[in-house]
Amino acid sequence: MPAHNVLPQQQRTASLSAPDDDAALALRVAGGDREAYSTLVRRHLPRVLAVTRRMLGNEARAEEAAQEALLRLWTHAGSYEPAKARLTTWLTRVTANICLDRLRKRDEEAWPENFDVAQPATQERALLDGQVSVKVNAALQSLPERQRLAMILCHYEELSMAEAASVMDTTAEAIESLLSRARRSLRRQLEPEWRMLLADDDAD
Amino acid sequence: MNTKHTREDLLKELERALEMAGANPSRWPKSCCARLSAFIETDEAAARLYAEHKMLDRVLCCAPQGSPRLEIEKCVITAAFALRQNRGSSSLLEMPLGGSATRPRLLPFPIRLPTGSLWGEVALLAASLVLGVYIGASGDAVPALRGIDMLASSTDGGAGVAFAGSLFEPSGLHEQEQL
Repeated sequence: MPAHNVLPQQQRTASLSAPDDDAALALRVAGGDREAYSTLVRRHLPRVLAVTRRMLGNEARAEEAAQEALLRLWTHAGSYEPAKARLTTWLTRVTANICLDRLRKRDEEAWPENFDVAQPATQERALLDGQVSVKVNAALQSLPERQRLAMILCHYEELSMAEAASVMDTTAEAIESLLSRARRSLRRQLEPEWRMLLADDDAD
Repeated sequence: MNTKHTREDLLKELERALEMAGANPSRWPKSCCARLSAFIETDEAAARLYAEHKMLDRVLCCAPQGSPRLEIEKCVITAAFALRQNRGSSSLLEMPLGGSATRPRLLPFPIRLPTGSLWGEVALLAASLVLGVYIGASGDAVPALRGIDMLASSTDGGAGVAFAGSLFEPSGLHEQEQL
């Protein structure tokens, strides 16, 4: 039985009033503390949802995946070891794995590529409407899964190379390689957009 | 020649840093950050490359972010607590992660004691034990069998008690048999 499961009741009660950090809250969640869990959900939902949105490219599926990730925090908090990683890293790894699983299932079920965001009609409309965000999302979705995940973790979530490597269970060198390829691809795909901005900037 | 070679190296180094971490020098490797920042200040091609990546970063910032809706937060918390309730008071952490959440658990010992309705059966078993001991001690089964007849014909608990009493009074039934 993990040590925190035999935490004396007095100690648990005392920690309620202490400044709450993620690790302490996670230990309380492992003991079934609902208040601690609610706090962690409020704190981490934005990041979890940001990752699932960018990975899955679809709001409904992103919300489902985020919910699944945070449910894992409730059911598997006992497996979190503060000495090994920050809770953010642990939770991001859980989230990333859920996203990758869902993307693989989507592939197995032979859904159309970029089913949600990158259909030609959508892209065309985006161009016409000047909706750059749709184009960016489409470009992100077109990246191979691991490149996209590396990009999301390092660029959007601002994880260090080492943290991203820990989340993706790989080396920092591999992350560098994934990032380089991802960014090269995005640079090529989004060239009209960034060139337009560059021209505006030059004109100013 | 040497200067040109160095400039190419720096350009390659800058390109690598930009592809890895974008136009954000604070995320570049510390070992080359200062060198590359100075290079951008002095080299036109480097400055151009940096500007291009800076614009790409601005474009990438346009990716839809959204904000978590309050309903999602409530939904997650409600679902989690419902999950724990459905699994009773036992914590998931009491079992291995790969184990079944619905694995049956033995009740604690006191709860497995017989309830009131079982006391009759317990009394009968105790009587059988006493009878067995008596037969073993006396070496004569006849009075004991008569006692069983009495017990079988009786319908109330009092007969059982009378029978049990007779077993410890050898002068009773045993003497009658001798006569």
